[in-house]
Amino acid sequence: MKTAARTIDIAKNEILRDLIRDGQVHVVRLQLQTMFGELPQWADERLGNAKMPDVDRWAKKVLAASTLEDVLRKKQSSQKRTHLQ
Amino acid sequence: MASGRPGDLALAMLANGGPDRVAEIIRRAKDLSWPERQRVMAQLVLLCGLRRLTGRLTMELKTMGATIDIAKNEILRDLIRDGQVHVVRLLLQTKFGELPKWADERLAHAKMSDVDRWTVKAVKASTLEGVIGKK
Repeated sequence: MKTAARTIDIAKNEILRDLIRDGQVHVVRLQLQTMFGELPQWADERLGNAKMPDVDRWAKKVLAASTLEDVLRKKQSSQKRTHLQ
Repeated sequence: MASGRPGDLALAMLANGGPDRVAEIIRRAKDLSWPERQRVMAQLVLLCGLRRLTGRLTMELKTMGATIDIAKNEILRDLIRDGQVHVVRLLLQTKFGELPKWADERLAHAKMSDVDRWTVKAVKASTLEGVIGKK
């Protein structure tokens, strides 16, 4: 994006990032509501706290998912295995 | 800064920098005509975001009883729309594969109302044309 004075790096601008993310979340919310009806509170909260990579992941999952949980399930954290020698 | 012109207000913040200027810029912007005020407030939002002054901006807006109407501010509204279009593109690519050029162009010119309509249609449509219309 260019202003009269300088070029703005969206990735480094937290307000711009938040505005774009709000737009992304709006579409995912609408998609989920169309597929699964009114969203429960836990889903609403998860959407409210979403980061950009979450939104992309959910957008790819949403059309093939058969439940809300399939889409919004938290990413499995890779657990480190400790090998005792 | 003394001139009160919108460009000067934003440049003042860039040049003199500082968090202390935020309140003054908001106060001066309130006296501007509607289109000029919108432009200044958009610039202020962008600059505060860039300089990590978001907290300060929010505080000053609250203190001064000022608001920024994002829906009426075309620069800020476009950013939200860009985020919406990004997700609709992802949805359509996931469902129909790589998008043809005409679909890409239609997405690029989408309005917020188009995005909502296409999002709802994408659930049931079996073709790309069924979502965003004919070529």
